[in-house]
Amino acid sequence: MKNVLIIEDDKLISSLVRFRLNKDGYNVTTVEDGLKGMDAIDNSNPDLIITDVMIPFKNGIEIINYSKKVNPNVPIIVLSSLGEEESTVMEAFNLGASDFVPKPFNPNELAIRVQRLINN
Amino acid sequence: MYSLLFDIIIEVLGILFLLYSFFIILSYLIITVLSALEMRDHLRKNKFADYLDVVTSPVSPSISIIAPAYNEGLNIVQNAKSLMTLHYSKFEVIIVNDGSKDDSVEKMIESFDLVKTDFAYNPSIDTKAVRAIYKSRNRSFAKLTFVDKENGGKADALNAGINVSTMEIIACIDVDCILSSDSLTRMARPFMEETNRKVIAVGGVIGVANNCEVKDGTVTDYRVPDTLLGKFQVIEYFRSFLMGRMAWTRLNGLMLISGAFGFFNREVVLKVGGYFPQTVGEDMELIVRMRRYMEEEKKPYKVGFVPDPLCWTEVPESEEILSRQRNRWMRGTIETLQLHKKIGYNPKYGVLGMISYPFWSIYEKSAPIMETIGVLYTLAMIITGDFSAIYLVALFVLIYFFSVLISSFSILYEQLAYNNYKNKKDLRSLLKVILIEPFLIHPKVVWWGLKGHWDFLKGKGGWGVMIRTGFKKAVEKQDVSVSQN
Amino acid sequence: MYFKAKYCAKWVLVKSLLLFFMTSLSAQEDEIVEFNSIPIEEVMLKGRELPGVRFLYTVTIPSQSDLSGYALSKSGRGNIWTSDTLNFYLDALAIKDTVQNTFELEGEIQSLLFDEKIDRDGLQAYFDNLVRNELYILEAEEEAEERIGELVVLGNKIPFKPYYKLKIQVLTDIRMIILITFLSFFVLAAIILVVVIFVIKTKKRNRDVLVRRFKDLCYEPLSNFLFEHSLEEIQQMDKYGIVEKLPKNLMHKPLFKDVMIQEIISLNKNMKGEFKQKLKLIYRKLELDKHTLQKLEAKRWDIITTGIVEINEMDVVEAEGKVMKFVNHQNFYIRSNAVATLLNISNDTDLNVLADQEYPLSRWQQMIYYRIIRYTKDKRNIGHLLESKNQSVRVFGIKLIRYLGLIDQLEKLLGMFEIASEAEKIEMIRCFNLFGFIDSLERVYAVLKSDNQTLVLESIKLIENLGEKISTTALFEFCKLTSDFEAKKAAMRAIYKLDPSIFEAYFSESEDEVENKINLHLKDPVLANV
Repeated sequence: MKNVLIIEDDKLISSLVRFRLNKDGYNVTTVEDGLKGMDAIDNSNPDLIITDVMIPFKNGIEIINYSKKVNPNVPIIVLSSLGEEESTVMEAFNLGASDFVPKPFNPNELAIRVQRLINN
Repeated sequence: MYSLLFDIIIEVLGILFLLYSFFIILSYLIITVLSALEMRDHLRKNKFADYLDVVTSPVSPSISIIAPAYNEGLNIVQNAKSLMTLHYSKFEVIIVNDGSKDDSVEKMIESFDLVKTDFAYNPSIDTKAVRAIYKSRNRSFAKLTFVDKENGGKADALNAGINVSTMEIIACIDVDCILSSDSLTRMARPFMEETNRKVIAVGGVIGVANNCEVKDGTVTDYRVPDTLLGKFQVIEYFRSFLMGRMAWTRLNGLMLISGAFGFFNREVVLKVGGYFPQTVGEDMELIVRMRRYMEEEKKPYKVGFVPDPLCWTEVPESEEILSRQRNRWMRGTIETLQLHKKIGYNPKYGVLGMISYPFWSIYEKSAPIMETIGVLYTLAMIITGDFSAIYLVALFVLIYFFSVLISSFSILYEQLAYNNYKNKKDLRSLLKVILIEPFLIHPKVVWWGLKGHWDFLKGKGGWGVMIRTGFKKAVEKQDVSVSQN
Repeated sequence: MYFKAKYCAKWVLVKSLLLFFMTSLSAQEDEIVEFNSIPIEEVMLKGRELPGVRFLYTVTIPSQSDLSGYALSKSGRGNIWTSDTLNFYLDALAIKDTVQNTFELEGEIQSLLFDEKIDRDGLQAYFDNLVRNELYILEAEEEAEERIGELVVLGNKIPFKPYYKLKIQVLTDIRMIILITFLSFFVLAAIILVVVIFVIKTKKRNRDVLVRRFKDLCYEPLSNFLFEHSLEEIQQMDKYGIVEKLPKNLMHKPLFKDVMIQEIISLNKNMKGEFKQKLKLIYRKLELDKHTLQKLEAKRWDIITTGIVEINEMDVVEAEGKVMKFVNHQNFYIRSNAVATLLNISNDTDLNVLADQEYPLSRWQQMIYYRIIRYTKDKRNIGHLLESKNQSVRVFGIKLIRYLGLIDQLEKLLGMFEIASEAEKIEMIRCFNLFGFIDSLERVYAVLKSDNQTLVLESIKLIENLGEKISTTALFEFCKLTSDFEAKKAAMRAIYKLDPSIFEAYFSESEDEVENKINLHLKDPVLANV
């Protein structure tokens, strides 16, 4: 079973995404801030990371940086909050984010992206 | 005959002490209630605020951050960097080197690829000579301006920064402060919300950063400091920010915005002539002068306050530094009140003249003196075996319990509003400090305050003549030149 | 003047305090000086014993009558009969009366003080002394009269002197009174405060616990609806069908409804497409809209505002009329959210709700309204805002023209330019400048004479962007006259850009220090980048 790590401070969204991805048979871990996210990257061996940009203590960009250092092959999907600046998006891609999903988003669509990235 | 007169004096003094303490306690009760109401409203308002929008909206005001630095070589680069990463779109960062004796300038030049420019410095406010104004060749540091000037003190450095600034709002902060990334948006809000009144300034809360875990400019784990003095200041900051200033905000009578984190309307600051470098209490003095100006111009205005935790600073845990700080605060208070004695008890100045000023001059300024006389008086009564010693001792016991009550409340406030200090052990140790603080630290604070009074009388630091006569009008400061110093 | 008033007030306070004391002190002295002497007979007739005072009745009778039956005894010489020494005046008086009635003889009552004869005045003086030194207490004596025989009670009633003194001292001492008032006041206030805080804290904690529990309960069924059921399936369910899948025993609790609405709104903000419809459908089917509408009747402003926000997020279009009532409410949050909601849910293409605003628009409101209008700009008639009676609305209208790029409105703006207020002119000029509206140039020269710095700076910027070489004449004129540094700098920058050669000719050799400074500033390549 593949592991997916979700770093998102809005618990409702993370549990919803978890619900959706559980349906597809993934093992999903959710954490609500950047520091716990980094711990989880170290400890839970995720096969894919979904991270929000605006999270407590760290931001999504730092998470990408860190994850790429730990294991450059893990794909990362960046969830962006409303009104995010373009520069952040560019930076995320430059650092090696695999995909970018702006909020509001469609969880089914997100699930498809997850599947595609994990199967590659 | 003499003994009768003496008796009367003793009697009157005793009554004055009773009345004085009574009104202090009454004021603090009122402050508690007012601040509770204001805090409740603030938390309710926060539910309806979408701060994310402020960052990008074209309607948001532009902000010049001004940070004076004196011998901050160790951290100046890191601090400048974190200021530039604040979450906001229209802002600039002006670091003013106030004639540091260390390598601040070299470090800044090297780290940000700075070059001297021919910036046309316009001394709208008179300041000490500016040696050079630097900008970066690197476009990603376009937000940064670095001003190098002769040493003239914090207020003078801020004035130089104000002269260089171009934005609508100026944010005066201490360069070593840790700012939360959303601090600009939150502080901009009061400026944006008012409809009928002009918001001339907005103050923020300062948190005690000692011992807290800080990662990349954000406090990730709140811990109370280890030393008694540190813990005491945590409680004191709660009391003064969450209770005192909240209550004054409710009355629109706020007279002090912390110099480490204050936002001002640039236009009004320039109108009144900026900071007054000859007083040691420049932060309080500026607010009083700005308010006074608005009152004199008969324009409706407001001084706002944002109680969200957005700014943290290391407070001094050494007794020596703390004693100097408190001495300075006391002198600053006395000087400000002296400079603006015209507004005191003057109904023309509304809340400022009739409530804020009297409160500051009767309580904040005179408290150490009254307290000392009170203690001496009580001792004298006890020694002579006078019956009234009983009342006075009872009074002191009462005041003790009252101060414990108020301090506990301020902690409760923090718990209700933010609940940042989650560690139960920390809370218990704060409660312990509340119980012993009146015996161990308060006498020292009183003593430092007395020394402040003494130093003021000796004319230390302040600017003799001007302070004795006071300003006749708020705008009079403009005619005061630094070179006269 | 003010100083005087201040000191006067202080003196009045001190004086009145002094006065108070003087009077209370002198009151005590008066008691001593104006001692009220009571005639000794009055006291004696009341039948009380006076310490050290005794009485002796003597009568001389002519005959040899025997008066021994009347408690008299014959003293040595002649017919003089005397009584025993008596403790009570009334006893002596009784004997005297009897003898008088029987023998019609006067007789005489002698007073003895410590067994020495004393005349009336001496006795009176002695008695006065007793009273003055509080050795003999009149009132207690009187009271005791009513309780003859109750010796114990009597003993209690007669004040023990030190206690008596203390009582007087305590009750007349203002400090004690202040302290006691003060103490009771403080205790009362402290109790109230502690209780209030305790109640608030408990309530809040309970609420937080409940909210957390309710949130956890919401998420599972909501996810189920969103992922396991299609829109049509939900459409066909009735309220009870949906409630079945939710913790139904909680469905009647207002707090649970609030949490549910909150969660639906939060999801709605973050979800796209079909999911949004599903969420709104669930909201309607559960009749949560009724709960929302109820909030508009509340007294607390934040509840009303919450209701309005919910109407906005959930598109409760039928509530338009109800929200309309709040658009000019005095509370800022109610008012601004009501307007925002109406901008969203109503078909008000003329933006009447904005144009009819009575209160000035704050920037905060402008920010919110702009965000709403931006996403629906095609169907809005921004021009209508320019006709509003409210100046801040007109200013906002002009800003919207700039933000949204509505160049078709520029002619209209130019038509309004002359009669516009300064705040409007500033925005208009920014607008003309941004869109390069050359027609405005001629009008703007006149503005250079204004006292309003922002207005002047904006017009100089416009001239810089849209002007030609000929425009520099006006700018030179301006440079000569102005003393404002910022304005001068802007004007020189404009000249530099419009006609560098004339700039050089005029300013490069300037003797004016300020002009020199600005000259260098403008030519600095690093500063030009910024």
